[in-house]
Amino acid sequence: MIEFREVYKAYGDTLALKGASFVIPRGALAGLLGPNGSGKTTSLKLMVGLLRPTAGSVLVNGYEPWVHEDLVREMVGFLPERPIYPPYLKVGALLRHLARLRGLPWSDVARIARLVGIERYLDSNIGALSRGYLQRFGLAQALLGEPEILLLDEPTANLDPHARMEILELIAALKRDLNATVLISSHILPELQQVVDHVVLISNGRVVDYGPLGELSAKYRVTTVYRVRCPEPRRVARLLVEHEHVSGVMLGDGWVEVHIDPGFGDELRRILRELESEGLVYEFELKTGYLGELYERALKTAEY
Amino acid sequence: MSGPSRLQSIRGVNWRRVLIQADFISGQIIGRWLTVTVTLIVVLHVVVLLILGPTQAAAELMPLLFMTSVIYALIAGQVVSQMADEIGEGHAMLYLIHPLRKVEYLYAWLVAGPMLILAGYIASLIVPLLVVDPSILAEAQLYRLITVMAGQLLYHISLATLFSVIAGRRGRATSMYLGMLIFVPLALTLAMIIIMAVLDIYIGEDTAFTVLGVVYPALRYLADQNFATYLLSTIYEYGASLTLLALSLGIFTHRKEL
Repeated sequence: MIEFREVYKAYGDTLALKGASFVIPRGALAGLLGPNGSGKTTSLKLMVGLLRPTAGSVLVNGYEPWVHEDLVREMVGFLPERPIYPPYLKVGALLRHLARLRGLPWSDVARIARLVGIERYLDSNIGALSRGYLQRFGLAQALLGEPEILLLDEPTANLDPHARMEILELIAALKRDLNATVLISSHILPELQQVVDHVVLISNGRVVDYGPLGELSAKYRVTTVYRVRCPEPRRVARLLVEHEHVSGVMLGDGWVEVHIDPGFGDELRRILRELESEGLVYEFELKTGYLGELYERALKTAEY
Repeated sequence: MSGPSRLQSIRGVNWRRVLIQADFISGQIIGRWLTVTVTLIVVLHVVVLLILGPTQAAAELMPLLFMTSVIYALIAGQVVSQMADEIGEGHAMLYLIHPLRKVEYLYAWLVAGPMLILAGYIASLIVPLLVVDPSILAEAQLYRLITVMAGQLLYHISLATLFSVIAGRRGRATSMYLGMLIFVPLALTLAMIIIMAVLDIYIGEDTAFTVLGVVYPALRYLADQNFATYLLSTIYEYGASLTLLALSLGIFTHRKEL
């Protein structure tokens, strides 16, 4: 669990964080969302003890990162936004060294390299990697030791759309496989919509709101997407589009995605339960609310 | 917000991690070119000593020792600048986001940098003598010379470390201004000595000698090779080095945010 309590962080006269408070529960796949310069990277650096809070407290699984830096970093894997890898070093040599710092054998390096798809590049210089593979390398070093908490700072920044999707899919798969708490910082909201279940909305150093995406979507009445697993997607889609608050449906192999207007969640759930009882629906879940819309509404409500 | 005291920071050092990081620095970051340079210097020394003759007295090796210390001071400058670059360019963060404390990172550089350079320096002096004339190693004066010159090298490394840490944590400009406080008087003194030598006038020699002695403490011993100047030079060199290294550590751990 990650907890910020009234955290302030000043760089000289500039306040990067202004009393930020939020909680990210264990096992969440959370998004730390806000525009550039809103305090996202500062928050992540505070979580690994690279920065010291000016006031307030930061707790990672109950430990203050600034005080227990090595203990916290054993639990945390961190992918920095800016590639900070010496280009003249070999991929394998650097990973081997970082693994040694964590007391891990070479077999762990080989396994992680396979997991993120860089095993062919272990003998290459870091400087020779493309942006996409550099990001995979970043993920590999963050995953060493299978940390309980994974902090990813703008993991898709400067990547082409294909590489972005690959990295996001990889993160979602890692989350499933490792069952870690994942926090992704990003200013590109639509792409995170596909993966996160919790959000922390941050603007100008202040936390606007935070919590499970479903709750926040309901609270701010944003357009919501439900994923419905069913035996006959076309039939279910036809039944659902008849409702005036359903703004759209998307068909897939054994599923339907239903886009609904704000505030219509309870009504849709009632309809889906009826279909479930008739055997037309296996199960359904709230997939996400529209993050961009959610951010704007939360910001407006908070009157920043 | 309470942080660990300086003492706690130092007490909690995990030396296994320090050695792993130092091993990596010496093997991957500075090791290769340093090994090549030390080998070249050793070979050069052997050649020079063979030309000078195998029965040189230790005292007559002084110019060679002095030149070697200057070369090693340049090497130290290069090593320390690599450390400053690693901090400045953000590569240090790569190690510090893993279970390596900042104080351990700095210790690793201190182990890998000064220790390697000092070991190389002493090897550069001892190995050629072993090859050319091992009997010189029996002369007590040689050890005094080596101690004083190694002390001076350590002092230069410590000075460079301090400036690098200041540059890394407070900016290069601050480091440069502080450096000027030392090197401007030094340059003026050197210029004054040269002018006096050219004009054949001798005023304020003692002052000039004292100013030079701040940066080259070994000068005092090299000028009067007796036990008193030996003691004075070594106490100054090793004492000042430890103080400068402690100061570097203090600055690094006090403003250790990255």
